[in-house]
Amino acid sequence: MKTSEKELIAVHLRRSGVSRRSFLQLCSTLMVAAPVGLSLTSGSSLAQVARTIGKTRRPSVIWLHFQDCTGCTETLLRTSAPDVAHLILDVISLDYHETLMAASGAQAEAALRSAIEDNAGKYVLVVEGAIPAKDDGVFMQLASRPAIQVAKDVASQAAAVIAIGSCASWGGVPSADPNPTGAMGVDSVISGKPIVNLPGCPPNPYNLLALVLEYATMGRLPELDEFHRPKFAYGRVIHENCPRRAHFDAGRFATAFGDEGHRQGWCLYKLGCKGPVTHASCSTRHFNEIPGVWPIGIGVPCLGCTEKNVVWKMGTFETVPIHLATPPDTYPPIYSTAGKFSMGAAGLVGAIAGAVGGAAWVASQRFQSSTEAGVARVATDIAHAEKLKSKPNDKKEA
Amino acid sequence: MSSATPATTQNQSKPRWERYVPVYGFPVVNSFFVVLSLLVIVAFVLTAYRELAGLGPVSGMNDAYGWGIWKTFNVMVLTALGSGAFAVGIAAWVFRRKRMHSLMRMALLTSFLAYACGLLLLGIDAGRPWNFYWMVFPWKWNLHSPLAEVAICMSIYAMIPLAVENIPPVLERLWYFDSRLRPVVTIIERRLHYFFPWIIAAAYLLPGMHQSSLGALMLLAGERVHPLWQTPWLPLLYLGAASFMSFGCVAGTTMLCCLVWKRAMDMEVLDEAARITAWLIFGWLGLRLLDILFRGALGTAFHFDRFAAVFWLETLSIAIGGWLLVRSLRFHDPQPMFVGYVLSSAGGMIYRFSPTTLAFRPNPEALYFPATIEILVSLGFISLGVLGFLIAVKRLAILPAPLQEWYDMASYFRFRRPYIRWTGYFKFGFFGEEESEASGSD
Repeated sequence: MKTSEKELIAVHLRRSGVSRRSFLQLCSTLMVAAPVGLSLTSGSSLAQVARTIGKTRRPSVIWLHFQDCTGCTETLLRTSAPDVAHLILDVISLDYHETLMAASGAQAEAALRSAIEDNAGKYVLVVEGAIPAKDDGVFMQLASRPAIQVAKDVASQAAAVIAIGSCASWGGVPSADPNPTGAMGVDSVISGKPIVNLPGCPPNPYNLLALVLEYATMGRLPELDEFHRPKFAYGRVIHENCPRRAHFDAGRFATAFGDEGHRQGWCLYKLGCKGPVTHASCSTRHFNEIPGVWPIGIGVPCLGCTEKNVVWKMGTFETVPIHLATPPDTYPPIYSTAGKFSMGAAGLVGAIAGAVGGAAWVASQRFQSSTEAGVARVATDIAHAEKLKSKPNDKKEA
Repeated sequence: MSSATPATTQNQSKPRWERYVPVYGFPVVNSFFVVLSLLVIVAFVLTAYRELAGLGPVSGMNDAYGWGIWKTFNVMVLTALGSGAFAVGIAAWVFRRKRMHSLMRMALLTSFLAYACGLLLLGIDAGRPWNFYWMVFPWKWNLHSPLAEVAICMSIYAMIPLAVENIPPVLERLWYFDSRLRPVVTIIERRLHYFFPWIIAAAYLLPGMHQSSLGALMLLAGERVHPLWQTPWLPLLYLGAASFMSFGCVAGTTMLCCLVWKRAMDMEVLDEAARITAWLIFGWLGLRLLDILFRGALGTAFHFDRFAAVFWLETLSIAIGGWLLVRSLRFHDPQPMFVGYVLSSAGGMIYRFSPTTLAFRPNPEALYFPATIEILVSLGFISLGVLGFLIAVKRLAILPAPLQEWYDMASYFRFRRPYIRWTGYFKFGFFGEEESEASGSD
């Protein structure tokens, strides 16, 4: 990419042979993933969203890895339909990504440099993984420089910084006690740039796509909460939209893995589900484009991976206090009242059944004689016919 | 009188159904009719009470059983019995079992009455009559309801194809009983001819849709339906049950009518109907047992509980009924045939009733038994259908009969009702040869 000007998304997609149909499918998935809270999608039709995105220049994205497991990259690539990953990579212009690129060594460093220079001040920096800060960052070196220095350098020319995953957001697993490397999130290292955190282990890739596209098309970041998480995805706790919420309200809890309640799909709160305090969209936007694919959907309690104060800070099976208990005025009974059984009604049913059955029985006993009657009757009819035939004109006298 | 030789008698004494003939010589109003009318009046009064008081005081429904017998019996079971227009029609028109045409008007009439009474009761079950006018605005329909398909499809089926298919007997009566109406009848008949094939096609499409959708509804109930009944094949099995039950209903009712009004039975037609029914029954039983076997639910049939009892009751009823039908074919004996129809239809009715009520177990403590008022209303609406049937067969040419019956009726009415401008009874000669039409007028 020598030109600093990126081509339009629509032009690039047409050149790459992507059909409009798949593009519209991506846009509709995006609209489902972020229906409100984005100025791109709220109040727009699918065609409008597609038009807006198509007219936008491909946003340049530089992706840096620090102390991570590459799980966030994996979640971007492991969409259930391979086309979706390709589409995402076609819509955004991923100019530098250490896992995905073929280059290595000095060649890779040159690619990073040229990506920064070509799009200086315009690219979006995506950071994956925590940054070690202890002892001047000696715990991680990139091209003989401490990682913390690389992060600061690349971020200095970025338009915005997105911290993807819990590690980049506040430190994640590497920062768990005793935190030997002094791992910390991006917002503790970089200042003076708009920073958005997309915590989650891993986060939903559609949140990243929605965020990047919102920034590229509208030129601004969506509304953020106090932890710099976009409200369109992190505005509500999982508990609010949990498919097992009715079981919580009705008091039906799984108390051990594999017990009757667990098999019946009851609420996992007593198994340590952190859903009531975890702000995330997992309960409404499942992973891999497959309905039901998310921890609670497959019977595993929520770990609270988007919350700094929950995951790695609380025990896995420890229950969280319910801050947002909204008790109803009355509790519906778990078992509804059993119906009444009246002897009168039973007698009536019996009488009707008896009458119908008896009639059928009596009728069946008379069938033989009826046939004989019918045969006899037809015999007389035929005789009558013979008579009529012998004087064919008698009916005309009528 | 006795000029018929034994040889020809041997050949011709087998009655042949050649023509639809009204039941004549029996008064419409008799004691049975009065009893049915009383039941209908009681049901109408209770219906008014239901509209004022709501469902709570009149029905045994509760939170666990939201569907009472008005839906589960009068609609889900009785429309299956009334699917004759579908099953007999397909046998006659699509599979060219031409003898079935003589049962066609019975099938059409029973279907129309079963559907009409079922839908009426469904409207009463739904309640809130002041909201009914919304029905005429299709954009106000709740198309997201699982019941939408059934409701729309059933109403359209009963109001258009079934109603139109039942017009010919009415036209025929107008044609024969008043010559002044003949030009009008001719015009209507010409119009009918124009779109009748489309009506008939719709009459096979729509029941195929909603009779299977009724089964698909119970798929939504999931594990609440006992595993012996809950299966992805439920739509197909529901449709199959409706097919053999409706054959039983049409042929069995025809036999019963022949018995009551002393008419000859055409054993060739009845044999063919019994053969088709037996094939349907054993095919259906095979599907059902294979399904149970492959889903691994057969073990539950040997538990000692009410579900197993209901399962064996229905399966044995259907199987014994089918066996009796096959047996009746060998001896051309109407008695086992009738019992076979009754048993197989009763078993089919239990099958159609089970997933919604008998084998439906929302929770271990739930119980549903219809309240007395509920049963009386249900009975009243069945009586309404029977009343309609009794009037129709005595006023319209519905029941099949030998041709001679038609001439007997003509002489009967010429003698009894000389003031009626009846016409055209002698349009066809005795053995079917055409005669000049003018000869029979007035």
